[in-house]
Amino acid sequence: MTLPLALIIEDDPKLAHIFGEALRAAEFEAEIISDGHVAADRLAATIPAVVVLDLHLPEVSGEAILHQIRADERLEGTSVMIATADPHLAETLRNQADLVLIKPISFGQLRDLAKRLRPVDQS
Amino acid sequence: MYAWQRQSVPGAASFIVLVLAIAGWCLGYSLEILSIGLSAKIFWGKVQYFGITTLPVAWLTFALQYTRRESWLTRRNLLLLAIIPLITVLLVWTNGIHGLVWSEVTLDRSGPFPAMSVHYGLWFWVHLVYSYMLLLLGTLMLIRMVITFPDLYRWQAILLLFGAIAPWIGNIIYVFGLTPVPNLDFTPLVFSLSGVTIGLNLFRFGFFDIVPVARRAIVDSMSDAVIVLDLQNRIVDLNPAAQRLIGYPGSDAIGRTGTQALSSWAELLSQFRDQREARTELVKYEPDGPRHFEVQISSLLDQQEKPTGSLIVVRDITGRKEAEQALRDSEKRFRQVVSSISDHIYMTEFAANGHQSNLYISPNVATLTGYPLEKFTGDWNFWPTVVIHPDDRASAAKQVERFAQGKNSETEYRMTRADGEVIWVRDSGTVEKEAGGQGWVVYGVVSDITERKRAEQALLTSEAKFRTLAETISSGIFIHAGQEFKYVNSAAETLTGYSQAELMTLKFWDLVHPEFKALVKERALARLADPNQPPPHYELKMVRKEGQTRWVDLTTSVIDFEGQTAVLGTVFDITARKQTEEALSVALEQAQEASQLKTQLLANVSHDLRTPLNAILGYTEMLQEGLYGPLSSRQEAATAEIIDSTGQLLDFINNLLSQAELESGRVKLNIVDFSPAALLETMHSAAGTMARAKGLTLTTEIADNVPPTVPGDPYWLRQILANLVNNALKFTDRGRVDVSIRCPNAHHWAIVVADTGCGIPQEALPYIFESFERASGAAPGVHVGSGLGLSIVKNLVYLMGGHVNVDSDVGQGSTFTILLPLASVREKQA
Repeated sequence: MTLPLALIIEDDPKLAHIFGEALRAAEFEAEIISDGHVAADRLAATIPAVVVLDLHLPEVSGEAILHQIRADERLEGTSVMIATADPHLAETLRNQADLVLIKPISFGQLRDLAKRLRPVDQS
Repeated sequence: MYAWQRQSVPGAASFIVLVLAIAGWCLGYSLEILSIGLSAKIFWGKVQYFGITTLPVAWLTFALQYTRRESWLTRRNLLLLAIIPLITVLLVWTNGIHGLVWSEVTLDRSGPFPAMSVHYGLWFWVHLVYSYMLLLLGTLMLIRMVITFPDLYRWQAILLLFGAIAPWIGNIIYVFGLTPVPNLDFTPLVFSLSGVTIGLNLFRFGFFDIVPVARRAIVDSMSDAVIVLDLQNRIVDLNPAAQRLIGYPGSDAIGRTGTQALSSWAELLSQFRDQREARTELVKYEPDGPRHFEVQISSLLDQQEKPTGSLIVVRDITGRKEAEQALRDSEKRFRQVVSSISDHIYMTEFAANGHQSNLYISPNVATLTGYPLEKFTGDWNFWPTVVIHPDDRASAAKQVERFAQGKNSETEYRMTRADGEVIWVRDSGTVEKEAGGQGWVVYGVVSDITERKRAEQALLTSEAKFRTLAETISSGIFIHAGQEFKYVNSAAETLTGYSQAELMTLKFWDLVHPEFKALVKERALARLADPNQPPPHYELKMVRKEGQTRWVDLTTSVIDFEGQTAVLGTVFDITARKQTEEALSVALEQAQEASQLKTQLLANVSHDLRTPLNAILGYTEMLQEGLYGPLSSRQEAATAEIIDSTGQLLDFINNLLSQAELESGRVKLNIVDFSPAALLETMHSAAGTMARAKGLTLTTEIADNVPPTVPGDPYWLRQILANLVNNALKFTDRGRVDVSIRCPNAHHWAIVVADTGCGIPQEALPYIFESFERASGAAPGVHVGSGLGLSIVKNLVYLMGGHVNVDSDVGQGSTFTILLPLASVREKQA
């Protein structure tokens, strides 16, 4: 049985590792991407169930990626969890994201929230 | 001798000379006739000429004096008259040499007695013509006078006329040889006859008393009535004025008794009937008003001092009486005027010898000075030495000196009243010469001018005050009219660098900086267009004398200056303020820049702190979860401490950043409709870990009356809730923390956080919302925190238009209630 895909778009490798572990603990296949361009290309090629999105990324901003996801009908079913250290910026994007999480994000909390976002047919 | 005794009478002196001349002539002629020899006769003939030559001169002199023409008889005229007679005498006595008087002298024995027969020489005729001329002149004068003689002096006149004409007849007979007795000259005889007749006049009629003729003329022309009564009281004489008075012509009146004639005066005169010397005033009432008369009765005495009658003189003194009355009325009015005015009036006489005396001092002096009038009337020195103020006595004395020199003078000085009050007076005196006298009188008025002086002083003080003000004020003040400065104060000098004298030659325009000339022109034109709305003041640059530019604040107002429309301007130097403003502007820019940097810094700090904190938290939790293998109990406890500390650090960072944002005023609320359930969920997921770790029950509840969404800023509300819940968990060791959302009324929704913790002492309640303040009841070292949490809560809630309430019992727990509006804040922002 294939696990649902979760893309962890985070440029800090430590946090990307923690978020990946939390998503795996929530029974997702976690794929870590640390670059905005790569993320954009990857999103054009696949349909993840969950995206954990950092806003401060090199090259292409997290905001742009969020817009890309929301503009892409293929990704209608994809849940986006914003994980950011900038609370004010996060507030402005609250309506476009499924969840807004302000760093520091608890491992347990992320795992529990991610579990809820697992596709129903696959749970 | 008679004439000698009366030589003081007019004509008497010359009459004596006349008689002596006649006598000399007669004597000489008699001796000539009686002489036998020719040479003897010639000698006596020559002697006669002393009389012959003197006679015409004496005759003319007598006539002149007698007819009151003495004024012609000056010494010079007399000498001129005597020239020809003197030459004649000289020639007579030297005739033997030249024969100018007698060309031939012979002895004529043809007559009854031997006589000297002469042929006259040239000079004799000169002498004759001259002598006749003088005699004729004198005679004519006398004839003319005689004609005007009144009847009373008729005999006097006839005799005088005879005396005047007789010598002529005799002389003419002799000179022209008409004499019945040959060679007998009648002239000395008839001249003797003249002497006799005139002598008769002297003796019989009191010839030299003819002077009363003049008196008569005077008496007749007198306006006073003069009546002469005899001893029987009969009128013997009266003048025309008396005739008019009694109403009778003179002819009717004479002979009547005084009582009859003066019937209308009877009553008045009766009392004087037997009086010989009396003087009284009578009033006679006539249709056109009363008439006043002065009546004088005096006895007439003859030379033996025996009464011969009486003289009544009646004088009409109505005019004088009326004048006297008018004078009394005038004086009364004058006194009334003097007493009705407050000024003091005086009259002082300055005699020629310098002596001063008070003629008059008005009673007002008492009112003016407070001293009784007697003080002044008695003592000339009282005024200058007591009344006049000591400091002003010298100047007052100068005024008296001027008066003493006969000059008008006006001066002002102080005087001390009896009650000690010092008053100012003006003393003004006019000098008038005394009629007929050598001295003069000063008419003076002394007026109280204290009020005027006070007003003047007040004005001076006020003027000085404002001048001092204008000259010491640091603002420049100027008056500008007709394109030039009319006044500039000292500060204007300092401000412009020009002296006052230099400024007076300049125009305001000259001082305006070129950049501002257009503005000044515009303001001036605007004021011209609407004088009622001048800009109160404006700022401009001016150029100082040495070229330096200064910023000034100019205030102008339109005033009337010496009848001219002028601009009153106040200028003060605002260069320093302008420089400060510029510096502040730069500082503000820098501050804004710094603030931007700070914001950016805060954002970076926030990001840079949160990221490593997340790594710490994440790895510790993964250790706890056993991702890296099972942990011993000690390791589990250690990881729990790490997580707890991380929570505290996070709280601190959050609050620090919030506080910084609040203090910088940069908190901008983003009010949106959000789900209160989501708010509680987020809170629970964050705080649940800590609650579990402490073994506390954390519950959440939403009341049924709460709508699905409520207005608010979710970010800051999460912050508020996190602070309240963290505090509750921190200060509660046993029991529970219950978080609920409800709507207490239609306009508000509320977040309530209740714990079963240690509670807050009553006295600490006022301070719990202050920064870095914690309730003293908390055990030190046990409950640590930033001390910012509640302060941030309170500030944010107020910012949201809400209210924080705390209800606490020590040992029982605390309940915090946040009351927030359901609509108003968003509406306000919209």
